[in-house]
Amino acid sequence: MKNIVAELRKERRITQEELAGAVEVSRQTIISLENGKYNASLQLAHKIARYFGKTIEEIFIFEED
Amino acid sequence: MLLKLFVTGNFQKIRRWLAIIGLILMLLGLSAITISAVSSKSLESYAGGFYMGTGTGLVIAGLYMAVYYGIVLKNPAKSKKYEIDAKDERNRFIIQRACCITFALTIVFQYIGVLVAGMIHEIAFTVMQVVLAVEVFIFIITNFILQRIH
Repeated sequence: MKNIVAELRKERRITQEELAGAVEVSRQTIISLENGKYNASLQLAHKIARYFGKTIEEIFIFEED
Repeated sequence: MLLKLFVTGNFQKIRRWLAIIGLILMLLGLSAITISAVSSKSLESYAGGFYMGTGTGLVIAGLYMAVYYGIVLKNPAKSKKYEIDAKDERNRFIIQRACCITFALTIVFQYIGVLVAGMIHEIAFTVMQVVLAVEVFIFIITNFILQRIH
C-alpha cells in the first residue's frame, strides 16, 4: 500500500508532530506510515483523509502483489 | 508495556483502576514480606527468600503504579500523551506481535525443557509437561473466546 501522506503534509507545511496530534497517534506511526513500513488501519486512514479533506482512495493507493 | 494493551475506551477510568491495582499489588507484597518475616522458622530457606524477594518486588512495582497512574498522570498534558501512546495502533500492533513471538518461543523452549527434564528428574518432567499443557489449553480457550467476541 502506497500513500501520499508525506507529500500532502509537506504541501501544507504541517509537521509530523502536528499531524500525529491531529489524528491521535504517535509521531513514530506517522514516520513509519510515510516510509511505507506500516499500513494504516481503516480508522486511521479515515482520520487522515478527513484531516486533509480528501477521500481514503486519494491518499492510500492499493497495489496488487 | 503490556498494560498499555488494556487501555481502551475512557482512559481516566482505566487510569484510576490501574492506580487501585497498584495499591492492591503493594498490599499483596507487604503480605508476602510479613509472611516471610513472621514464619521465617517454619518456612524452608528458599521459600522465605522467594516470599521476601517477590514481596519486595511487588511493593516497588505497586508503589510505582499507584504514584504514576494515580498522581503523575493526573496532569492533563502527560495523561493525553500517555493515552495517545497507549492507544497508538502501531504500538499496539508491535506489542501484540511481540507477545505472539514470545509465546511461540516459550512453547518451543518449554518443550526442549520437557525433553531435558525427562532425562534428569521425574517430578520436574511432570511439572514441565503440566505447565506446557496448561499454557496450550489457555491459548486454545483464549483463542475460542476472542473468535466469539470479534
